[in-house]
Amino acid sequence: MKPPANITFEAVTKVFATGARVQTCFADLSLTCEAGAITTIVGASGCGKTTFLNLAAGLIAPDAGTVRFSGTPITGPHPERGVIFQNYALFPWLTVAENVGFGLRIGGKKTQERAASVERLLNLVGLEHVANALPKELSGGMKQRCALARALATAPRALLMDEPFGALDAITRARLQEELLRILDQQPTTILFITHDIDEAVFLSNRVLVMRPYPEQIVMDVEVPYDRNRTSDIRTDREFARIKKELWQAL
Amino acid sequence: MQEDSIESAIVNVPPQPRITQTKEGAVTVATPNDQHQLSHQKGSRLRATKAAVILTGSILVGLAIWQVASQLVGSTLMSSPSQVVRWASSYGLSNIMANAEASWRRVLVGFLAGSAAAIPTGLLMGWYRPIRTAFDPWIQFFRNVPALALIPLMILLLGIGETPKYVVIAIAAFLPTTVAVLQGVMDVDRNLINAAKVLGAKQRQIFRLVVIPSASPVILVGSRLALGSCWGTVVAAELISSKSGLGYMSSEGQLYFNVPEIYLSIILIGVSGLLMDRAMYLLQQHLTKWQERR
Repeated sequence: MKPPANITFEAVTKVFATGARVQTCFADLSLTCEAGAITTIVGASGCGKTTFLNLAAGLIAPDAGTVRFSGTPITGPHPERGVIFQNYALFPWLTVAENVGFGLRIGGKKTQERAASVERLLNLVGLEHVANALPKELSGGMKQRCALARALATAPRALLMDEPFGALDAITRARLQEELLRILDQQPTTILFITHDIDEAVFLSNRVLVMRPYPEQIVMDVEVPYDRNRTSDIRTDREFARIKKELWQAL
Repeated sequence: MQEDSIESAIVNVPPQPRITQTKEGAVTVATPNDQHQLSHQKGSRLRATKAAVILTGSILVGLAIWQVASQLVGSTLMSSPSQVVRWASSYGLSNIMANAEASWRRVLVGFLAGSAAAIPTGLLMGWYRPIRTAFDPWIQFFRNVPALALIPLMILLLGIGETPKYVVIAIAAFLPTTVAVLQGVMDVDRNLINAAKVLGAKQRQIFRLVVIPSASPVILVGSRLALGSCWGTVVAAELISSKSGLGYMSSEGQLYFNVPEIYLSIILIGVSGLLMDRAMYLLQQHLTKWQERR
């Protein structure tokens, strides 16, 4: 398995043409997501954070500047950079196991060759008991676990997560956050995490960036001092509360 | 992982069996689900029986109304059910089947040929904008020309054999199916395409593994509508020019003033169309089991 790699934004500009009007999403933005770390961008909807993630995914191209992955310019999507979507984007006609094996199938692995990897991943995310269920039979939390396993199947060196727990209830969300940290311990990758939930941002991240609509862009950059073995206990820490307060003020 | 205990209740996970011990020491194991299913089965069986009774009643009442009406109107123009049955048995099952077979064959050949042409056309139109722009005016134009209107031309071009009928029925299937396939492809969730892309899928794989399965429910609805349209077309084509088929029976009945034959053909046309539609519906239900339904 290849080690995690960093994502670098070099003077990136992205504009959108809506009718006759040209709207700047961000201009001349430079930023590095360190290899193996969790970097979170927090911001209100419409600040351009999803655009930012789509650039890293290679789903869209910048209008100026370069986005690099491990030093190489990104020209399109690649299974080395897995993406988790807010609405899960599971293939509804495939079973849980088939969804998880999709990336391997695309990569040319035969059914038997896929079986062992799929089983390992289902165990990792705790879905082994519903391997043959269809997505419509799953709860929101299970759907997102399935999406996570699917993204991890291609052994990505970075995982781009676009408000992955945004549609879940608070309890399920908190559990999945903890579990995500545990899973990343097993299969380390670089994470670019997008959220509008400050609590989530602080709990998961090594570094939190606050994004505001252009021309303000990145208004705050905070290092979170906890190590990766954190548990929900830190949520009630004084330091945790202090960082949250600071971020709230920047938002 | 506690979350799973909550979530597993939602999915079909075998629940914990309940073990009961009787006085004699015999142990019975029953899962809560068994009992639930039992009462559920009982309920659905009751509903099914009720539906069957209503259905049979409805058919019998309909036939009775028909019988009474034919006596009121006079059986010269309105044959009674019993007259139709009598005439059918004198005409002979083999003759009836030969006509039904002719109509079914025309529909199936035309429908399959039309669909075989429509699926690639619709897929390409949906996926490639230039192809869509080029083909769309023609599809829209011919959609407004009923396939029947092409029969005279087809007879001139292709003669009076089976070929013009196959062609006209194929056209009747082609147009609605093409439109459905096109719509199905255009409606594919962007997110699913992106999900496949980020997992490394190339255009061809996205098309085969995402676009086609994703569009299949809409395609199947289109096919069902197309089959209905084929059936209407075959009957009309047989009325205009044919020496066999259920539509022909009707025109023959008119020609020789054989009223029961007209009624019999109407019944057979209705029943055949119904059977085809049900078959298509069951296929559709089976192939789209994965869809979330209300």
